[in-house]
Amino acid sequence: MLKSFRICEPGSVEEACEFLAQHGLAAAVYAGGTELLLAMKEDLLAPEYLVDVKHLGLGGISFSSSGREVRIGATTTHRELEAWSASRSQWEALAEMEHGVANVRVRNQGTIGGNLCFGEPHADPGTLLSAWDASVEITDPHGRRQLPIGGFLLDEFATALAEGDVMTAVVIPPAPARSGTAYLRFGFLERPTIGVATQVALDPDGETVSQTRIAVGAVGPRPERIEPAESELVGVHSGTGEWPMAVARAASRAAETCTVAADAHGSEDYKRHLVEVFVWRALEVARARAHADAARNAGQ
Amino acid sequence: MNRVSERRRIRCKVNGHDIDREVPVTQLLVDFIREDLNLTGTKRSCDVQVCGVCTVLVDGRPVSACTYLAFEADGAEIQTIEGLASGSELHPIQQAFLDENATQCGYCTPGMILATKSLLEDDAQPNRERIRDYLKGNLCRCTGYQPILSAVVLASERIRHD
Repeated sequence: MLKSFRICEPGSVEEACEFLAQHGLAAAVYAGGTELLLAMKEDLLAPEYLVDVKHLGLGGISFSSSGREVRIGATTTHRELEAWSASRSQWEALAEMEHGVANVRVRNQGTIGGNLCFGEPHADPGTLLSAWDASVEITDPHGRRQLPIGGFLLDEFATALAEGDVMTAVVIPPAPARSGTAYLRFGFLERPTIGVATQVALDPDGETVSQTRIAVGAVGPRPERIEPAESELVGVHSGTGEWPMAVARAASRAAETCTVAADAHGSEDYKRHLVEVFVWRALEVARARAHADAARNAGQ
Repeated sequence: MNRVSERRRIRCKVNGHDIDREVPVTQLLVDFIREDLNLTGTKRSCDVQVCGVCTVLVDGRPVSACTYLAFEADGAEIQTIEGLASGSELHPIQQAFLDENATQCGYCTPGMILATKSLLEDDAQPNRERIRDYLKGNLCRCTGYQPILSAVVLASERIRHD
């Protein structure tokens, strides 16, 4: 049995925001409970009210009217996202990321919004969303705002959420033309020791790299974009000997500049080594996918 | 309007039987099942959704009963290990676990069998890689997993040929 609390079931998102604003730290947003209930069992959090947001129509995945931007409702479960992305070839990186989250039971219960709002550094979704420049939509008692994921995940267990805020959606912008994304995770515990997301986009020639994004997560306090490593690859011809040299430079830059903290998952040196290896591998996967995407587009 | 409650009435089916109870909202499903319903086949161990021994099926989907509030089961169909056998006849998955010696101390077995049931409903003929992947969230410290893999393969064959 958990310590005493009451369940509040609001009738609307606005009511939820007002209740949360009114009760401050005494109230916590409750959806899947896979993070919150664990923190309550450990007595790290002891809210008097759990505000259940599962019945407010905040679930579901939809495309924008242009058909390219994707809006994921905050209470969409990992399992729903896994199933949605597994049936769409362009979303293989999302499928890989979601499939790796914890285990099937956690994925059945846990939500994408809950995962992000908890700010647990040893998590997968924030890293992939960082590589995609995704945003989160937050509703408060006065309206809605969007924040880039990098401006939302601030530190370990710290987000930009204020009292009265409810995350209502995650928005993924359209992928660049002729691009591919990869997400690789590694770890020997339940949560990832490292997660790396990379995206490679190609010029209309289908060979020259026009843009790269590299995000590294779980090794430090929050997912981090490694811009000095990204710039190593721009303008590189991805089908020649230039590519492996540039990838080696990018991986090494990422390992040097990334923020890393030693913890139960490993020492700083060990984690920097992992960053180098996994940035390298993820760039190779993203390159292959970008080539496949370019070939598909050329064939259309 | 905000509805604030300390207790909730839940009406659900557990192993096909209608249940109508009032529970404190703080009660975990594993305690409801073990203490209120006296169904002690569902175990508790890690208490943090890692080990899988508390696995039960809620509307066919595996969840960790240790981290699931009991009131959420309102309207659901819950299946625990006690609901698998028909009378004295074991479910084919149970029989396969027995035939392959896929159980030693037995503590993980109820969760392992329920996870297997959910896997086989999703994929009637999983290969070994899929089985390993699906069951990675159910830990067994006795068998070394090989007999469990064999039992799942055997169960899937028997269910398909029935």
